[in-house]
Amino acid sequence: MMKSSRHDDATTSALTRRTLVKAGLAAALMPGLAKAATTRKAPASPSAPADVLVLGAGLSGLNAGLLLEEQGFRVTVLEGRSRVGGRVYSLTDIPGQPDAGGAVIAPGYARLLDRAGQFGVPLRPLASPVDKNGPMAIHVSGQTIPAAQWAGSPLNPFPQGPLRAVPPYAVGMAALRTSPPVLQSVGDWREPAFADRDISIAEYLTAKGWTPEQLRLAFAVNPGYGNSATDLSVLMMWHLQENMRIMAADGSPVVQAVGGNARIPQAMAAALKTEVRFNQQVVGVRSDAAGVEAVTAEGQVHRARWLLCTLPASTARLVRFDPALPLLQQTAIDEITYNRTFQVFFEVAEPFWETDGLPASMWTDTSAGRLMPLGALAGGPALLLAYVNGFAADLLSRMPPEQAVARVQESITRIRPAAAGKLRVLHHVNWQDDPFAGGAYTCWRPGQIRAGFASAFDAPVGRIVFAGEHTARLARGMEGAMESGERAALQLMELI
Amino acid sequence: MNRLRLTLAAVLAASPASALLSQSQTAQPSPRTWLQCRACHTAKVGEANKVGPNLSKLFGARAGTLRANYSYSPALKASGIVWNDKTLDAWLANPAATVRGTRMAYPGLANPAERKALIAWLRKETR
Repeated sequence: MMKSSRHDDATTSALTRRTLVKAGLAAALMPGLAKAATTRKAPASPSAPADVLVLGAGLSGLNAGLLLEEQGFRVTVLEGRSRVGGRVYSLTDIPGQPDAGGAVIAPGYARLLDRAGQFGVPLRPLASPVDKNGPMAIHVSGQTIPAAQWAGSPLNPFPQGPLRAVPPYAVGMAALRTSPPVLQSVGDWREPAFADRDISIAEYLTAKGWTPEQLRLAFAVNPGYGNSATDLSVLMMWHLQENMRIMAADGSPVVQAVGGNARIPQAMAAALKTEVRFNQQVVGVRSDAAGVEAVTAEGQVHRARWLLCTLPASTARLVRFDPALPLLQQTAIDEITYNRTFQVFFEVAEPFWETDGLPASMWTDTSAGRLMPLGALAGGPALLLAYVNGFAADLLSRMPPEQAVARVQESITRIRPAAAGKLRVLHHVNWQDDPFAGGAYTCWRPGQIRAGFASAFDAPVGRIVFAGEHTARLARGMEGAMESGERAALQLMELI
Repeated sequence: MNRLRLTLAAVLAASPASALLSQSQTAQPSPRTWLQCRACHTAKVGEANKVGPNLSKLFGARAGTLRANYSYSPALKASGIVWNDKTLDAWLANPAATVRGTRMAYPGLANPAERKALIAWLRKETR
């Protein structure tokens, strides 16, 4: 049993142990040996089956792929698009490369920051410039109200008290903040002990005396999550509060990758030993005792021993799994909901806010959504982003794109006539209609966490392991994707 | 001999064969569990803090005092914990339950043998 060299000793010991545990070890060792001989990036070969087929070259798939390759496993990453990054998407055709998805890296986004550091992607603070015309103004029911005057406005539906002075874009979270917090650990939201709290915000706050008018303003106008107080779980919001406390870390500023956050998944993909295979839209996954096959829309078949599905639920529901997934997983895939976002990026020919004296940023209940200046980020011409969420984004999605973009622009110039003739449309992004996304990020409906949709993908199903932002246990957004990829890679290392 | 075998088994339980192969040059390969730690932490003397602090000279130190250039959560600083095998075992099993209000976003390592192996590795690595 004991061999002379350390190398042999480790190998033999590992062999002995693993053989006792499960069969198939020799095959598991092979990738490690094969990897040692490979120094140059190999073009993906459809004829050589990989250990793991990864569906999706977003952050979760790339992070899992890197971890698996590092441990000696052979990975093939299939991507439906012709680019990596998924919902991390930087508009490289616009000066300053603003991000249309995955825009903000919080100081606690450890895995994402670590990969950026590892691959030398420079970061810069994403601080909002101070606006001499004041903080984000409020435009509701046809009236523009400076933030400082909101507490005194007759349009403010909140009674005298602490919430009346809070601007409507912050009042929802403020109302749900309790002392002590409902959740005191980032993992608690999935615990059965909190399952009975998985009710709608409307149900929770109505019991506390909230009116439908208050609920609408706080949760249905430019909602950061969901569409209204009725279709979002209050438990998710408490999870977000605890998550934000952790992700704020020591309070350092949020950052963005220089050149856009997509530089990070691009650098991750470049570090993979095997090239990502693009334009591989998987429509079917077949598995049996021997392995897994993924079939693309064009009929190409990719084989591997295991499959990691990182597709968002909104995309995974377009894939046929054979054999069919268990009911819980399929129901979760079918029903998990995503935030709607419709964004229009404008070039600002002349800073019209200097003419009308209003803050450049504005929170509106119109098809303009939230107006946010991006000029300080760009370093080039001033940009204005109209960021529309919820049912207002639905309305725009139902129009032909040119008409929708025109509607946004008309809304801006109606609110601010000084903007007329000063805005030029550069780009619009509609995540809801994106064939490979179907929405921006997971928003749990009331009862979905209790039903087990959030934890449905913790364990593998046969030869399929799941990852993606919707499967994250602690983090959300980009860091949630990274976390899920790490978790999935560790699971696969045990399985293979 | 029995003890040696146990230790070996504990290390192997947390180490992929391929990692042992590829890292056979280094004195002690990191256990696979370290993959979950290393995005936030470095272990060796002189390495930089990440989102979490560098862990060198961890054993025997009071929680929240180790790195002057790291901003620990108030909860951890007030915990009174002194890091040793026992306190680390409880912490790694469930950080949030051990110190309410910690900012360490880690759900915990459920397997006691994996915790033991990780702690044993940390003890050497952070010297």
